[in-house]
Amino acid sequence: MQLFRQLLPYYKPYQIRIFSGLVFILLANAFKVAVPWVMRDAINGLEENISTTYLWNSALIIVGIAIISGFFRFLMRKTVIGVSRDMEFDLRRDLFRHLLRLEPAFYDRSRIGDLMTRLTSDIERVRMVIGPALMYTVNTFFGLAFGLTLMMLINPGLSLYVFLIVPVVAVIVFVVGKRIHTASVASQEALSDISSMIQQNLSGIRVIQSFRQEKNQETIFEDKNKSYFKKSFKITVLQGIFFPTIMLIFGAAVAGIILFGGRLIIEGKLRIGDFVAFMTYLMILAWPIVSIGWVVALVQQGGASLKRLMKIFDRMPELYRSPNPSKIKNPSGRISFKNVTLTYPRSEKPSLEDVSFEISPGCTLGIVGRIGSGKSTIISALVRLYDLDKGQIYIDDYDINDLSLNDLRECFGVVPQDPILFSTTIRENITLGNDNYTMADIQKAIEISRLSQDLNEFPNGLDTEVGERGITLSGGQKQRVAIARAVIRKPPVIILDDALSAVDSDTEEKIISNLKKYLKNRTAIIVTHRISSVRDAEKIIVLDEGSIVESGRHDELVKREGIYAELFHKHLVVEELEDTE
Amino acid sequence: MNHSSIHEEESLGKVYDHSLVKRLITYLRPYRVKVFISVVVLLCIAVLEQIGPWLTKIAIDDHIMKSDFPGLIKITGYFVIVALFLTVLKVVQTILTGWVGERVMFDLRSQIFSHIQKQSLRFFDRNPVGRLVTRATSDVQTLSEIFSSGIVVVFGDLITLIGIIVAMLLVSPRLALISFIVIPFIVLITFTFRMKLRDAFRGVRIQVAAINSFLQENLSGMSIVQMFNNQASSEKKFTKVNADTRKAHLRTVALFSLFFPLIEIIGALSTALILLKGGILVLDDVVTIGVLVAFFQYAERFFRPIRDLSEKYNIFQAGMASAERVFNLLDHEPDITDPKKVKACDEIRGAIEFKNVRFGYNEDDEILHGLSLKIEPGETVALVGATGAGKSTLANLIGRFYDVTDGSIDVDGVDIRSWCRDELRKYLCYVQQDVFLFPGTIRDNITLGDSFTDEEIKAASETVHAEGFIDSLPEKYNEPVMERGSTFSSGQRQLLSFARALIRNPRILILDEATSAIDPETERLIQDAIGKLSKGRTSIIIAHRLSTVQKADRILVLHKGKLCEQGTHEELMAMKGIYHRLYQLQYKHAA
Repeated sequence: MQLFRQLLPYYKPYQIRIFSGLVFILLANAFKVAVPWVMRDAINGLEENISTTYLWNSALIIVGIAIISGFFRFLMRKTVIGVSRDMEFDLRRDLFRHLLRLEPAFYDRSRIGDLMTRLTSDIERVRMVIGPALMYTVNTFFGLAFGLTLMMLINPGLSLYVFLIVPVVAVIVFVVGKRIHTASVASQEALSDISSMIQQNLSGIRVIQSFRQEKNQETIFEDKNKSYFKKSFKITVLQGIFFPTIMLIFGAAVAGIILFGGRLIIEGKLRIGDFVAFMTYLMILAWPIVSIGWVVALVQQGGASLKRLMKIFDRMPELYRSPNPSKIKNPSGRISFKNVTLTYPRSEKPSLEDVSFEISPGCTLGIVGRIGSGKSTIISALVRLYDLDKGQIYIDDYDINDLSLNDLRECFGVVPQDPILFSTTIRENITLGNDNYTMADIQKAIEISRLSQDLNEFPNGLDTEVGERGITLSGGQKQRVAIARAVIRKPPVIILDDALSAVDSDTEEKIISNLKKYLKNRTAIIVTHRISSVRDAEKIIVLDEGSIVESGRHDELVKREGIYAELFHKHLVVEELEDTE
Repeated sequence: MNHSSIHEEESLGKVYDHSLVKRLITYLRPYRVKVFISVVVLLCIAVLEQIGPWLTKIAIDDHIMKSDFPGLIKITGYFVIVALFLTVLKVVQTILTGWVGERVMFDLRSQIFSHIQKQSLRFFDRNPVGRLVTRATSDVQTLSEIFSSGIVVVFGDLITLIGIIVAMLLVSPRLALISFIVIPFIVLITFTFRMKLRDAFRGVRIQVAAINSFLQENLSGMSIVQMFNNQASSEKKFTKVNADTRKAHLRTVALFSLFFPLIEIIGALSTALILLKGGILVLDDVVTIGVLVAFFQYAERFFRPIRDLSEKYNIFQAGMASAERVFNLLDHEPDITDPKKVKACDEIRGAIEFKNVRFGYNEDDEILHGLSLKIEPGETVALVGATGAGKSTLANLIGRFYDVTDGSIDVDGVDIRSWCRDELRKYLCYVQQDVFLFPGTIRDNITLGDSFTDEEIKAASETVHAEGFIDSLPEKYNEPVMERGSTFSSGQRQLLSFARALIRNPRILILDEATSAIDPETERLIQDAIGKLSKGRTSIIIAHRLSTVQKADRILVLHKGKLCEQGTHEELMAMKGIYHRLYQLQYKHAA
């Protein structure tokens, strides 16, 4: 319960509606319990030979009351469940907003599937508590309160007997409910055991097939499958005993009314109408009492889900944020790294160690090195995806930590290694939904990225849908869309993070030469393992194991016969090999 | 051949698909006795349930009204006996159907699992692991709801309805006919409601799919959203999807809000009708008060199943969609199959020949363009070539993980397509570049579940120099291996995989040398182990190290999907051809 207190702020905007919802529940129940009362009077009257008119009136009153009760029941459901949908909306909006603020360090550690479950099923489970569970609890409360009161009014002695079943049912609901919960936890564990077994098996399917382990694996799977079968069957058994037992208790209550009520009638202390009313009340109360068992299960599940949601809400953005950030005006694009060291979270070795360099405005910097040498880490550090351990990075004369993240990132147009596209049109993938770009802007961007020709081949040109994750485009086309997306923003600094790996070297050269014009007054950082892309750069740095091992212009570096020269040499051999038939 | 993957999309299909249900029913066949018993029990329940109100009637008319208390005790006794009996039957019925339901799921999961095991690698290239896991777990679960909450309950409800109608007719035909006046209303309301609800649920499903794909994209593309300062626009779009989802849900809320009270009002209407007509009949002494009371109870029971039926709707729809996905998967025939007539042999020599082999992973992207080569029994060849030359592809084809598109591969002069794959792979062993370890123990990872003696395990580990590090582990061969073997170094994992291969003493060994850097000491052990491993059998080594190349009997140089050069290291170097250039690329600094 303590747990659900955290949801109070979400109730706040809807307190009036919630309150009226509760009133509707009260009214619906108040009218509902009046029906057996009317029946009671009419049946009692039958013994006194009442008129047909009386019967007509009773029948009409019953229908009238039912319509009013039904009306309130309609309002109750619409209001309470409706509010729960609104709160679900709010909760989901806030969670997504929170996720938008969390940083790569968080996403590195989370699985997308997990996060999606939080935003969908977990929120839905929490909603089941704030909506239906609340409604049914209050409904049971009022139903019991009114029903039992009226029964007391008819005959206190017989009512006391009926009262007896309430604690009995409550105990059974509680005890069996708990066992069902334990059993379902166990079966969930068995199920996730199965999942991870399949996961493992499929990840190692090559080994399994080449070592002919299919039969053995099937035997192991059979065991796990069987264990899950047993555990979930246990739930079936518990439930199979639970509901009939509850019904048996109600049956016993009915038997009691027949026997004791019957004796009271024989003794003249109870009338036949009272007897009928009693039976009817018992039937009306059966469902609300049983529903408590269901509510208990909902609250248990919802609690677990809420805990998972809170785990994410409790994660705070970790990147340093300056309390009073400086404003950067018309950045020229000068960048300098001063003794930068960066270690990725949960990694022991720094990925960048004591890296210093400078780029003048309008110049091009090439970054080369082997896989894992720290090339992309330089970019991550510059656009502040991760905080530095040591050192400073300046853009113009501003320490990047003194700028707001927004202002800082406004300086860059990044083309990442993996050109993530969204399943919308090419146009929207370029503008990212920003309406400020003119057609001319877009035209220019697709020219620079050499996308125009491909667009002519697409049926709808710019308005072609790219499909989920850009599935209908080739790797090279995706990368070019990503380039267009970066250049249209006209940033002072453009960053190509190994962005042209999927195009052949011919196209790459054409794109680079196109970019040159565009880059005239812009700083460019090109991370690559194709030497040809950086040949003309004003400055090239060579990274190895997180440190700069060589730097200079192409000619100088080739002469030094170090790593760069080796890479260059290999590049030439590869080109030669590519040309050999 | 159908290469399409097993689709994920939420199918927005039907609530009831006869062919799917028919196919599902076949899964009940092994348990037909239990199903039959459970149906019989269900019928008994439907009959017995109607006895309670009837006993009430007798209690009132024959005993209470006649002040016969001993008789009343007897009737109450009957009532309790019936209730007890009913409880036992219900427990039996629920447990029986539950058992069958769980059992069918068990069978389906096993079937799916072994079906997946039979698929070729091409299938796994196209179907992400997560999707397949979903098929065997949550889809089976959802599908089973068709049985447990669907067919059984709906069938039970229908029988109960019939039982009530019959009971009412038996107790008082005149009153029964009056009560039935409400039935057309119920049918009308339920029918209209179902139509509306179908559309509403369809809307919900579309929205749920939309919200899922939005989240999938935007969470995995979060770095882009953040680097391009695009949070506001992303939030705006999400708010729209989120609001649309709420709207779709609110439609179902409105429908249910309307439906339940309406059914309740109809219920009250039937009560009123019974009271009116029954009251008149009582006044006229045509029926007794007991009949009236029994009717009130029957009427109440009449509405319970109807409420149930409408709630089952969603469950049915989801179950059908899952069933369709599961059956789609099960219908996906493995694209590599064994021949009917299988060549049996006890021992092979290990000769391999590629004849004009053409192959590509995708139709329009051929990797091997008419590759021909011959490897003698017992020969050790090193396979050399630039990235993408087709080395690993060649290795994959020998074990028939993929079938060639043209040409053929012979082992001992017989086309491998006329072998049973299991037989073929008995003589083959693969050692992969990145070693896959399973959770379990070191021993499990060497035996992989086959039976080997401790001596054999020890001997194999010793030969490939894995003994050293295994002995230093606290639990030795019983040391637990974590998921993917993360607690072991890559060198140690290599040695383990060697032991795994050696213990099987294969005729043909295919080894993809690891490229990762390993400390010099382990490197020496590995090199020595490779030598021992390849001795006395046909060995194909995809070589990344100069020492391996130099030790090979012959070097095969693959270039752009063809065999270009072959010979010893010295011969090839002298040729100054592709090998010479590759040597500069790959080995010059690695030697």
